[in-house]
Amino acid sequence: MTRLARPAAMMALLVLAACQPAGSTPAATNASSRPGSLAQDPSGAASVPGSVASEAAGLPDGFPLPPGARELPIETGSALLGRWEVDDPGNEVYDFYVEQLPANGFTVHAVAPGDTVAIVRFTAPDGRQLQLDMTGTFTVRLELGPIHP
Amino acid sequence: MTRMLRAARLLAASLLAGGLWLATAAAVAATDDYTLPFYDPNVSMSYGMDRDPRAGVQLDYTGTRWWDSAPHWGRVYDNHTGLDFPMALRSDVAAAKSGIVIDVEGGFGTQQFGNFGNFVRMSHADGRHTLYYHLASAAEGGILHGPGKTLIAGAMVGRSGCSGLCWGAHLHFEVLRIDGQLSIPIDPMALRLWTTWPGRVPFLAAYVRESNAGTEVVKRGATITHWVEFRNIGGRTWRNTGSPGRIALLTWDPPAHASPFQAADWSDAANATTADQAAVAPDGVGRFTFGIRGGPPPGSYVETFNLVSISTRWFDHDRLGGFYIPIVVSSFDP
Repeated sequence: MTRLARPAAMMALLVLAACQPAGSTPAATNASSRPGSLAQDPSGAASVPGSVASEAAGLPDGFPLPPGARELPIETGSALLGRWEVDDPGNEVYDFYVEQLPANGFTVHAVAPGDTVAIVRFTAPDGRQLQLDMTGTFTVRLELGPIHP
Repeated sequence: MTRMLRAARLLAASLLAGGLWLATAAAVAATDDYTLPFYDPNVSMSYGMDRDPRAGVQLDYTGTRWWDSAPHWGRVYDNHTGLDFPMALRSDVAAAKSGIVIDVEGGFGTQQFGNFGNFVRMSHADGRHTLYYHLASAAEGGILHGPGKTLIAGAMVGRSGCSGLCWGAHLHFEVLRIDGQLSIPIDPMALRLWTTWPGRVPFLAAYVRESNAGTEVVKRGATITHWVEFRNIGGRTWRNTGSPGRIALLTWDPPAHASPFQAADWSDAANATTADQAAVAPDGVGRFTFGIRGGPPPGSYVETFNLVSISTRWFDHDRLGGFYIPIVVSSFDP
């Protein structure tokens, strides 16, 4: 891409973003339009990827959350930045993060999917190296924190 | 300690060490054990088996106990009964040991739920079974054999997928001890069931050297001798007898083409030779000696070769350094 083309493309993206209806994001739109994708939360409260994350202290800006994700308490002294659970098949939650982290400015370094777990390691836009642990079967627990063994 | 006593003890120790080394080398050559169930050496284990049955307590293959239920990269996750290897969909999956296919399921689509999805189960001469879970469906080429098929170690079992309980494309590999009607998962990592530690893919070689790394010049109608050495960096011992499974040097590009340089010592027009040694254990160097006959008219040529486990699997030719021999056929004695 040339130097002139880059600002033009960014401007086009900004215009597109401004045209989105309130409460909608590209991530949510993609998720709802995919066959077999995550269900949209009727309340709309947690259906916006990044909306829950932006309210919690210490979370990187724009961290995407699957629609319907419920926040869970974090133990005092824990290094975790956030805990959530969501009622969706694990493979869909894993696919959501593999798609939505890069789409929201996060750089994914490595992924380790398993039978009923997955780990995604990535760098946040603010430069922090983080790890998202996902466990469960039809209710998936998400734990975001620093990279750990 | 006197000088003589010390010397005697040193001699005894070195004899013992030598004996042990010979015994170990012989054991490796004589009894190959399990190898990793795929061919790509870049694949690494994401999660091993949990040897502690309690929920929330995990015991990984190194003996480390984790008092949590979080997944630990490269080690373990809670109640996991096998080893997970992330790999692209439809990657080739290998038999970890020689055996017989005793059960298959091939009807699931990608990420369709069923516990194990598509799988192959094999029975081995040591009494154990191996399982290869989450394979691609039979329609996608994930299942290649039915029950009753005998496969030698390293033969292709099927192709990976993401059927069953699967969050992303990977192979779940499991080794089972059979106790009556019970199938009990055991940890090949902790028990060091691999021929080499840690496990290696079955077939892999690295170029070492050859008799003439430049251009071979041969008079038309005459034969010269060439040899090349490869290090066995795979997990299986190379043997120069037996079929299938014999390791041989064949023509390549295209695979197994009839060579115009076939000499009298070749077993056929594509098969130049087997290893000079009867057995080349992992980490050993095998030499392959063969004739090159000036068959075609005078001119400059290139003949390319690759190693193969006969009737089983070609080696990765790139890792052989793309082995080829420039050959000049001359009208005169070089």
